[in-house]
Amino acid sequence: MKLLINIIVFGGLIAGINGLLRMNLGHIFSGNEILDTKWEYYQANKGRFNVLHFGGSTIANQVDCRQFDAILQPHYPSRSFNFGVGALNIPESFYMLEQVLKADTGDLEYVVFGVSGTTVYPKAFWESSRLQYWLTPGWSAEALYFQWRHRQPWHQKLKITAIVAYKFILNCFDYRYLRKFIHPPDIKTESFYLGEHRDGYTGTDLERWESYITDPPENSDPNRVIFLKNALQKIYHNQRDSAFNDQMLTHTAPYFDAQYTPGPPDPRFLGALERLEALADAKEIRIIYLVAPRLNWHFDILLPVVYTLDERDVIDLSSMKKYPFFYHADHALDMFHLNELGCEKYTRLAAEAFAEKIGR
Amino acid sequence: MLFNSLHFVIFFPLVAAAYFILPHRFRWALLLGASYYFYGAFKIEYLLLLFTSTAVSYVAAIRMKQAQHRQKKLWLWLAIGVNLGLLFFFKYLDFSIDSLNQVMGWFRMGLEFPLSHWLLPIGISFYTFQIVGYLLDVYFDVKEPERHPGIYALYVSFFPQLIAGPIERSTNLLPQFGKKIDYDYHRVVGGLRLMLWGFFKKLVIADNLAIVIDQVYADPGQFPGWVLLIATVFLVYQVYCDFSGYSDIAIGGARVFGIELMQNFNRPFAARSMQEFWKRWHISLASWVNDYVHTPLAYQKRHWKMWGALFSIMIAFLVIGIWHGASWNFVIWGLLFGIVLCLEYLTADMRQQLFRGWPRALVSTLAILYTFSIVVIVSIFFRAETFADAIYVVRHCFDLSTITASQLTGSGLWAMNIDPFWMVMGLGMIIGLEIIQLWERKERIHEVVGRLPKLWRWLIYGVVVVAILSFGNFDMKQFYYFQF
Repeated sequence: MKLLINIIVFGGLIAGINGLLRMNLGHIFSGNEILDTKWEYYQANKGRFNVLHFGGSTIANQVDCRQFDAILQPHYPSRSFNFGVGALNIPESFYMLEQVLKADTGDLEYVVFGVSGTTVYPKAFWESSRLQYWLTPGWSAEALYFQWRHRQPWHQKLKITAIVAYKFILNCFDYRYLRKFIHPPDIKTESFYLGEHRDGYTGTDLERWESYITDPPENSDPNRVIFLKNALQKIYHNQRDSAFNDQMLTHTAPYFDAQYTPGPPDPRFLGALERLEALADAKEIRIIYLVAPRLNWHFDILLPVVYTLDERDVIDLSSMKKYPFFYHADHALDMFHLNELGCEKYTRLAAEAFAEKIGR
Repeated sequence: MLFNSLHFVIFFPLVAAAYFILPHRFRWALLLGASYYFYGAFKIEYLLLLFTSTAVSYVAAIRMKQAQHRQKKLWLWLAIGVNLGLLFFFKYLDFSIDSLNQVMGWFRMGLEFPLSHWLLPIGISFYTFQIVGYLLDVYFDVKEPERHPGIYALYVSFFPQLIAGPIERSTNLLPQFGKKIDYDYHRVVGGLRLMLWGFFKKLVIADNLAIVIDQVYADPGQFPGWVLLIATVFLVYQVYCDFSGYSDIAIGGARVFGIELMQNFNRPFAARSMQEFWKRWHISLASWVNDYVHTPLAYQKRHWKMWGALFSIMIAFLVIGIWHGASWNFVIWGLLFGIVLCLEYLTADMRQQLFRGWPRALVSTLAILYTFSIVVIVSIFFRAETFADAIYVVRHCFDLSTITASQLTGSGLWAMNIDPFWMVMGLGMIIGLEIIQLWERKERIHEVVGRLPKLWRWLIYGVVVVAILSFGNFDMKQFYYFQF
């Protein structure tokens, strides 16, 4: 009994000190290379940027900062940074955006938030640090809420609940961020993750990804290689599997029919956005929401929320009626992403709409 | 299941709690079940192999006791044959086929046998030697055969030492499973403290030293001599911290259950000769080979006089080399140690005369440096991917003529794809470890910490735990010795 009490008290102290440190230090470290590299770089170069493109892969691969800034130049001296990270969905994206806003020192004027719906956490995600670093008590509850709200079998929901609880405990004891104070970020990875022009835009150039995988020794970390190989295989598979794409097209089309009536918006989704807006207002930053075309069911939860937001703050490029070309094979890389031609059009339309929204 | 996995962090306290809750007579069953679960968690098929080895040796030992001289010998060779046969099949078959194919290639015989590509079952070398040791103990009447099949199965599979030793002796381990063990707070805490130190050595020191070593040994031709030398020194400490860390976790874990395992490492880098080194390094294997191979062989060949002694040393180190792995690198690694030991044997009198009258401290320092240098050089064969790589490193690691001032800067190291942080950190950790080892001349560090005032003790636990949580490499890197 004495041993048990000692271990519990000791464990509590270790977790408690960790909580206190992290509360005061703010976000430092996620354990994910892409996210950490972008975070470190953006924090070190905050003064250089006044527009931040923030979100998942539809931001990371589809919003070319140089093209965006060039289109904006006649209207607004945009200097933008792409803080897109693949699969940065809600509520992880809410957490991360909150950290970005909190850490802002007054240079940022606009955030283009590539808002997404929820996704069922895939198995690879369970093991990854991407489902850990942000699991504070509050955000763990949010994570569970959205997973339970999602259409998936009961046993899956229970499994995810257990995983989130387990990852929450791991997060309480995660001190890896302390390394950052004595070990500077690995500059070798920056040019890859930050893109050619160090503005965070990485594009969808598959050859570049492939050469990254096969080019030792700089990138020879076996875990990363396996992960990227799997990702690439998936992309190739999806490209080939047109039957599946057709099925998804049929599934997604009704969201853009005239008869489509959105259900009530999710109150917690809206609540989180309101909190973020309040934080942004306090820092005099304006959030513009960008909705991307995708072939999956995230519109189910996303569109009712998007239609509730102030139209002046929304750039909606998702409509299959208004932008049918985004859903054509010649513009698509896979079900979720656009190819180079698609990205070029997407950035142009987003930049033009942005200029209009900010009234320039 | 790896010690450095969360699976183990949950598994171990549950087994320990159940162990002390259960009455004494059921504890063997719990430990046996836990051990099979532990081993099966790697790959369930491994259990079949473990079970076969256990069953054959259990039956053979009992039959040996009942049999007359010739039959006794037959049972012994049958059981040893099955166990070493399984070891050969899974560990050395492909190596043998590959070597045979190479020889046939040299003679242009146009024949090539296909490789089996069997997966090496984790820990097979360890438990096979433990079983063979038991069979020989029974054969030579050093130990009565164990009649209880469950206790015997536990002797073979006891999870703290199943995967990477220490290779236990039947005379030490088997009797302990029959003893009634009460919960003792101080013993349990002592065991946990030793485990904590083992985790620190493995996760913080060994795994982080591996960052530089892996980078350099992946393509040694890219690096100048001084980097090869530092990486090889790192390698010696990596293997030491990895393996002695595992041993500490194993010994500490067993101590929690009230089982005392044998010491496996005793400050090996303080050795003043290669002979002493092998009394301090992987003690359980070295003493096993000494007792079951070297001593009987030296006795048998005593009429060869000096040549008998040299022959038995070389055979013993050939066994140690081959035990470590199915590759010519390990054979050479073992034989090199054998040659050095033979030279030490031949020059013992000469050295004594040469250093007579020299200050003792100076002789000791020189002897330690000599031993460590040999260990560093020989270790190259332990780690190099190919024989050609090993020869390259041996030829270049002492060539300091290529060193330039720019290489020693942070950007110079980056240019070689080496993270300067881990280079400096590695050197710092080695110096820190050596300071602790100096301290350990009188008493092990975990015992010293155990006697400190409460506040200091808990503070040290806190620092070590936070160091593990912040600098520990949790990429599920396996323990180095699992491959053997």
